This record gives sequence, C-alpha cells and structure tokens, in this order.
Amino acid sequence: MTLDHRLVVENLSAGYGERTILDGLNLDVIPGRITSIVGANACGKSTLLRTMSRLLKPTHGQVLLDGKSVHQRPSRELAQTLGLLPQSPIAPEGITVADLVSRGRHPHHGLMSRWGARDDEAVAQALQVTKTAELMDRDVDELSGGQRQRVWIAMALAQETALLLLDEPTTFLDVSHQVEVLDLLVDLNQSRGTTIVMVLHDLNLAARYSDQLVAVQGGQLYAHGEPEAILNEAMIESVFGLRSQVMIDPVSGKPMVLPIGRHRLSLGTS
Amino acid sequence: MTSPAGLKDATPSFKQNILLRSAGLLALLLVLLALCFLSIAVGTRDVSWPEIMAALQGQIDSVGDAAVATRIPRTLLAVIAGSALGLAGAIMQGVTRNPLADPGILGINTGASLAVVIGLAWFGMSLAHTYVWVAIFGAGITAVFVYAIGSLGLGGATPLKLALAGAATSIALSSFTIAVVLPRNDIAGGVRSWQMGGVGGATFDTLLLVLPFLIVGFVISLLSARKLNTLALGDELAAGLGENVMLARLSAGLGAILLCGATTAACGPIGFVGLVVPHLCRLLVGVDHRWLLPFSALSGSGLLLLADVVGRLVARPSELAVGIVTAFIGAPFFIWIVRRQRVRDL
Repeated sequence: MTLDHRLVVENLSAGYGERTILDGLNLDVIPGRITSIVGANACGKSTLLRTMSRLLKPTHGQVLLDGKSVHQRPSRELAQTLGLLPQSPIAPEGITVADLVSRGRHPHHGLMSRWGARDDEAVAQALQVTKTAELMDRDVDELSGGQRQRVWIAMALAQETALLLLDEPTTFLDVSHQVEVLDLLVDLNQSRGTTIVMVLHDLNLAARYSDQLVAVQGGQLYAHGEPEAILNEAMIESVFGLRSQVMIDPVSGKPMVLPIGRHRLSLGTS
Repeated sequence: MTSPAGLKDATPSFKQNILLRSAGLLALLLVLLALCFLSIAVGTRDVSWPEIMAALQGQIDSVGDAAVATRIPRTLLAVIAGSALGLAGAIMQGVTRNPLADPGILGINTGASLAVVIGLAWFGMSLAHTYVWVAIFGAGITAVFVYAIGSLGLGGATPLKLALAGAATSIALSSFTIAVVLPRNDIAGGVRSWQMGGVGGATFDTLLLVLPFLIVGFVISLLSARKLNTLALGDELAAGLGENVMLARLSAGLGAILLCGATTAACGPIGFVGLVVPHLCRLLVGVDHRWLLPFSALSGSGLLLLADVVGRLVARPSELAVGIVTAFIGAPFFIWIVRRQRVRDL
C-alpha cells in the first residue's frame, strides 16, 4: 500500500460513438496526493475519469498504471490497485451496510477462495474509518444521503487499493455532508497514503481539499498544478467562460473563486 | 464505535448470520423431504402405507404399488425441475437487475417450446435426445433476442422494457407455435398436453435425458453467485471491482438457459416458479447471491412439488397440470410485485 503507483495518461483521446470528447490529453498523476479534475460541463472531465478507470476504451493514446496499460491488464488484478467509485452506484434493495461494504473485497478473491480473517479485518477497518460501524446491520435504503455516501466510500476502502478514483463524490449532498466526505478522503490520503483522483463540481471545495488541480477544457489539459499556482481569474475565464475574482480563503488559506455575474454586484468588482 | 471493541463486533454478527442461514437451509431441506413423501403418498388414487413401502422397495404387486411407482420419477422430476426454475429465475433477475425477470415472463420457456414444436412438426424429430438440445437452442435464441430488444433505446434494459419485450415476444412465439401445430393433427394432442406444463408423464428415462444438462446448468449457475453480487452494484462498479461485466452476464445467462431449456424439454413451459421463488427467498435471506441461489433452488423444488400435489388433489378423479397450478399462484404474485411502491432496479 505504501508503494507509489504511477498513473499516467498519454495522448489520450476518447468519446462516445462518433463524438470525440477527449482530444490528446496528457496527465501525470502525482502519487500519494489528492488530485481534483475541474472544468465546465461537457469539457470531458468525467470522460477522463471513466477512461482512466477503464470503463471507457480510448480511441487513441493510453492510460498507464506502473507502465502497463490499464485497458490491457487483467481486470481483477487491476482492481487490487485501482479502485473506483462511480457517480451513481446501485444499492440492491434490502442490502445491509455490512454486506455492501464486504463486496469491496471481490477483487481479492478467486473463484474458489474463501472469506478469511484478512477480509474481516479490511471490512472492519473500512467501517471504522468511515464511522459506519454502528450502521452495519442497517439497510442501505434507510440511510440518509450523507451516510450512504460514507458507506460507498467504506466499500471502496475495503477494496484496499493504492489509488482511488471518484466521480463527483459530493453530488446530491448538502454542504455539511460534502465537507464531511472530503474530510474523510483527506483522512484516508493521510493515514494510508492513498492516491485520490476525483471529479469535483465545486471549485472552491476542490481548491481547498486538493493538492493538485487539473483543469480540463475542450477535451484537453488546460492546466495542472497546485491550486495556488493555477487558480486565477484568467484561468477561470478560459475554462469556465466566467469573470471572477480570486481571493485567499481566510479559513483555509487556499484560493477561492468569487464569480462575477450580471447582477448583484457591489462596488470594486467591475 | 471507533474503539477496538467496535471492530470486534463485526465478526460475530457475520457468523451469526451464517449459522442462521445454514439452519434455514437445513430446515428447507427437511420440508422438501416431507413434500417428497407427500408427493409419493398422495394422488388421484388412494394408496395404503404398505403399498407405499412396497413400491419404494421396487416391488410392484398391486395397482396401488404401481400407482406409487409412477409417482417416484414424477416426484424426482418435480424436484429437479422446480429447483432448476427457481435457480434460473434468481439468475435472470440478477443478470438483468430486473425484479420481473423470469423464464416465463421473458418468453424463454416459450422460445424453448416453439423450437421443440418446430422440430416435431417440420423435421420429424422424435428422438428425445435431440429434444433437449433443440429446447436449449430455442431458449438461448429467445433470451438474446428479448434482451437485445429490451435494451434498445435510452436507459438500457429497464424492468418495464424488458418485461414488455418478453411479453410481446412470448405472445408472438405462442401464436407461432399454434400456427405450426394447427394443421398437424398427428402431433396436436401430444403437444397440447406437453405445453400445459406437467411432470405427470415423467419416467426415469426422461430424467436421465435432461439430468446432464441440468447438472452443468446448476454448476455454472451456482458458481456465478459472486459475479451476480458485483453486477448488482451497477455495471460501472462491477467493472471497478474487477469483474468482466459482459463475460459475467454471458456465463451466468448460459447457466440459466441450460436450466430453462432442459426443464422445458422435460416438462413443457412452466411459468412463475422462477418469478415467485427468488422474491420470497430474498425476503428470507437477503440479497447475497451466495445464499439466494441455493435457497431459490430448494424453494423452487418445494413449490413445484406442492403445486403438483395440489394439482392432483383439486381435480379428482382427473388432475390439473402443474403449469396451470403455478400460474394460479404466480399471476397474483406478479401483480403484487408490479404494484409494490417501487419497481426499481434490483
């Protein structure tokens, strides 16, 4: 787990049918860090994550994990290193939290291997880290949105992968639960050294919680670096087509974007 | 709950569950044995205790002994056909993540029976051996066809679309079957009684004929349990967990098709067992396919046995084909599932 696994995207093009969405994108994910992919709607950020997690086959280029293409490695072996939490996974009706989380152990088992102490330990730890142990015997259906998202993250943790890709893990959550989920991901990154790559909608939360930001525009990499280094008015203008003012967030000391629309403006902004 | 004590709690709860479920499996087995006995002892003709014992030991001296002796293969066929249908239903519901999936509703049994009828009418098929192959072939083609039709358009194979595609296909294939049989008085009678779905005509020869197919089907199906557990979380997450989604669907589906095809060849199309049984078992043991599949197989046997015994009793001195009895049980159940507040993806 402590080994650094390198995830590299090389000249990647991908899309759906005839429609090309990613167009020759390069990205080198820094191991052991939290990277957030940001960009306008339909810029290709979800497509990028889906291709990196081998849900989508590239039309050109490749995604390499430790030098080997993720699209060619055996799926189960890959799933022991690279975890994925899609945007809307399905919780079967009536499934308990414990059952759901334990399904994260799937890639560690062959056709005949039995559930062992190692699996028990991984599940118990995942429940503990995400503070879902007390929900263990509850039906996932009964949980609140925030609890449910913690359970899904617990399932991904039980998989014990060195890298974890998440597609908009905070959508449908209110602000307190968004912060809770992101805090949890930072815990995970710090305690286990898990490399985290996620798509985030909220720029300010992305800036606050990420070590690295990846800005995607028109299917290509626009900028990649620390939030302090790349988040500025010019970048917001090009990537989102939005005028803004970037200030230092007094709570986190990270950059914060204040959008400038057509209305509700006071002095000193135009 | 962040204390180590919280960690320890996790283990006993899992184990208790396993114990409880194992006990349930054992209880089910006992019920099944009792039903087997009932199926041998009870029928259109009343038989005495010594007659039952004699027939079970292979002595056939009286009419009663003979009656019992014919009930033995019939009972065995009901046991294996019922478990095949229950298991196939559970697999299909898992593969399609669709609560309405059932070999009957998806038209797969109809497809198998059309293939058999065409073989009988047009190709002079009589050898019972080719029978099974043809039925499995028909089941396979229909499954692929219905799934393809049901997956067209946005949202993939939703419960409603799949059920509609299955129902429409089923009706079309039934009409076609009638059209094939209608001008053929020579085979019409045999086809009609076979199509009602029954285990009454069973002999040990029928059993031996379908058994190899069913065994392969059972093995493939039971080995798909963990695959189905990941598919249940959605295709994307299943892929993320290292499952080859296409291959998992195909292999589990193949198991179900073998089970349905061979069962239809032996008993005709029997509906609703595959629908009712997995739902009841899910209420009992939850959604883990490693438990759901064996429970569905055993409960399927139980339901079909019970339906067969009921069919023999309600219409005395004649009897009702088991397919008709299961339809009586299944149709209201189908409505119940559809009317539940949420018909959603499993």
